[in-house]
Amino acid sequence: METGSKELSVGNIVVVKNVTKIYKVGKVDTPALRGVSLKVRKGEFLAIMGPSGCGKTTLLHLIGGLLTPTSGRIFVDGQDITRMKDKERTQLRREKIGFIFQRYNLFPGISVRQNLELAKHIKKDGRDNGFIEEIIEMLGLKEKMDHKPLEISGGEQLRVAIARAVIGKPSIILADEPTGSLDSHNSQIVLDMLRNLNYKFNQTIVMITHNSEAAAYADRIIRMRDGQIEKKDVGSVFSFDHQTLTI
Amino acid sequence: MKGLLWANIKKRPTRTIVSIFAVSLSVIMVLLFEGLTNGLIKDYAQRTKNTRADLFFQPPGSSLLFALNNATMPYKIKDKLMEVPGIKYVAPMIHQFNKKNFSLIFGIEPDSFNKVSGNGLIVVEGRIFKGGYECVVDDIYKKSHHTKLGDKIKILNHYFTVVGIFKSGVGARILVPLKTLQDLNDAHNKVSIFYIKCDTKKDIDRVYKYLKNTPPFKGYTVNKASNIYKLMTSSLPGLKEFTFVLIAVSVIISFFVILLTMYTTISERTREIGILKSLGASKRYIIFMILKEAITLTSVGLGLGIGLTYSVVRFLHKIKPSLPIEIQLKWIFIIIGLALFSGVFGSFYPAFKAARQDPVDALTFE
Ligand SMILES: Nc1ncnc2c1ncn2[C@@H]1O[C@H](COP(=O)(O)OP(=O)(O)OP(=O)(O)O)[C@@H](O)[C@H]1O
Ligand SMILES: [Mg+2]
Repeated sequence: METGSKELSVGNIVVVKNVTKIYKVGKVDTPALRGVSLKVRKGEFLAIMGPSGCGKTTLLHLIGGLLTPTSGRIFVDGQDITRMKDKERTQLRREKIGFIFQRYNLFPGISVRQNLELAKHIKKDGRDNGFIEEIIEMLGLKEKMDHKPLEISGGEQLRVAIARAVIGKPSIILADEPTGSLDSHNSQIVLDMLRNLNYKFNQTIVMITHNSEAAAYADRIIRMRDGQIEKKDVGSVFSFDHQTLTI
Repeated sequence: MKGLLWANIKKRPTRTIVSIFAVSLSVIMVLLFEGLTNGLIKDYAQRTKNTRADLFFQPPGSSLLFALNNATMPYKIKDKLMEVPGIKYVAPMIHQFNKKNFSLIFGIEPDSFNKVSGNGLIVVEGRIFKGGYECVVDDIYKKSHHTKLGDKIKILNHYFTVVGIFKSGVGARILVPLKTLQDLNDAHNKVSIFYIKCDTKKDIDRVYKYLKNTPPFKGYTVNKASNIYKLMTSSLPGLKEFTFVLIAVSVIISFFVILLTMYTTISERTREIGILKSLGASKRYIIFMILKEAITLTSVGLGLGIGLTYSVVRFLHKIKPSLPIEIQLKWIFIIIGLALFSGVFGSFYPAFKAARQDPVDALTFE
């Protein structure tokens, strides 16, 4: 199988080729992805939409190297992560990926500051305190640094999760329904911030959302159904213009 | 990351406290036992040394500490010993073990005992016994038992009257007439040990070799006073084995406590571990995180155990001054090593299990 060097050379930071994923639970096979191909350009803000259970989270976890596909290939920053050893995928996550989970997944027992320091520690990002200060400023978290996650609002928790995701200056941010439990006002605040980060640091963002208002912040939207990307969007996947699709 | 470590340790305070106490108990157990045996042996060795005897002559196959109720040597060997060139004095004695209060009683002849010890038997109150059912006790015995002259002490089902108090540090804490002890043991004209004083220090080796190799002494047990501490440690029956078992039990307790603690904590923390992995934490990172937690628990348990041991020792010294407990520094280091060893090995399995955990399972785990 050819590795798509041409696609890589034109600035695709993520290339997903013909990926399937079948979960095996006991003797039951659940096909979550059935042949997904996708390209994400460097610096692009991509939204993924689709009904519950269509495989969005699975795709996101595959791109982030938390899962391995049943078949197909995934390239991140030119590297074939499906051929990587566990250790290399861990390193990839550490250096290139920032996850934002739907439930934020902050550590409840420690302060916001400690949550961020922990991430910094794992990312071995000793070089740049200025960057973290900037992020904290940008996300308006300055006053909340010594609070525990449960002592701040949902919107603030999400901002901490975003700060944590961007701390190691990852090239890709993978966000799974980040605004899923926020009202539209708070969603907008946070999405503006995400958008800003995307502009300012040229970080690629792949965001799952059920909300078309949220999706409107993205450069491009793809829709999934039954483990596949819907046909009508396939064309735009391979186009290079920053056309924004909204419903 | 200290923050997460403390947060996790604090999250389940009861479990943390219980496991810390379990580790400290296993520490206390070993240290107290060691302190007690070491103290007893050392104390006895010191007191035996204080008699200033140079050699101990015993029946074949005897051990020094348990030369007890073993009054099988004819008294008259004394005369043969006296003829050996280099020997100055010989004191025939019976060492009797008093089961009732776990102490030693010596049956002595004040005359010969004083000769061997260079008048080491100093009566500070009352007088030395004259015979029959009279005894003298040392000042420590007096203090811990609140003994007064004229009191009666039950030894081998007979009441002995305390007629004097002697300065502690000479052999046993209770001395009785040799003759009386022979009669009570039905061992007329028999003794269990001879204390030997040589003419000069230089004679000790020569006399020792002579007794070992020359009939009729050959075959008897001869020990040098200078070796006494080592001899006792090695001759106390089962001491080594018992110590070993005790240490093993201690290590196993700490091992399982840490294993269980860390095992339960990681099964509660699958999500946390999944998040760490999603952040890019390596297996090594996770393993070290668990190990650090286990070592922290073990260290606190250790510190507490050592601290409590010293408190217990101080308390025991207060209520029973005659109880000789002495914890060797060496054993502090040994117990630190053992506990950390148990902690680290106890957390190995949980740590590796956590490191192998699938991050996605953990993250989707609701
Ligand atoms: N760990 C798993 N084991 C077994 N089946 C799974 C697992 N994770 C997901 N699935 C199944 O795979 C399919 C796709 O799941 P996925 O979580 O990717 O969907 P989704 O699009 O993210 O849905 P939602 O919008 O509800 O989050 C579903 O049928 C789901 O039940
Ligand atoms: Mg999902």
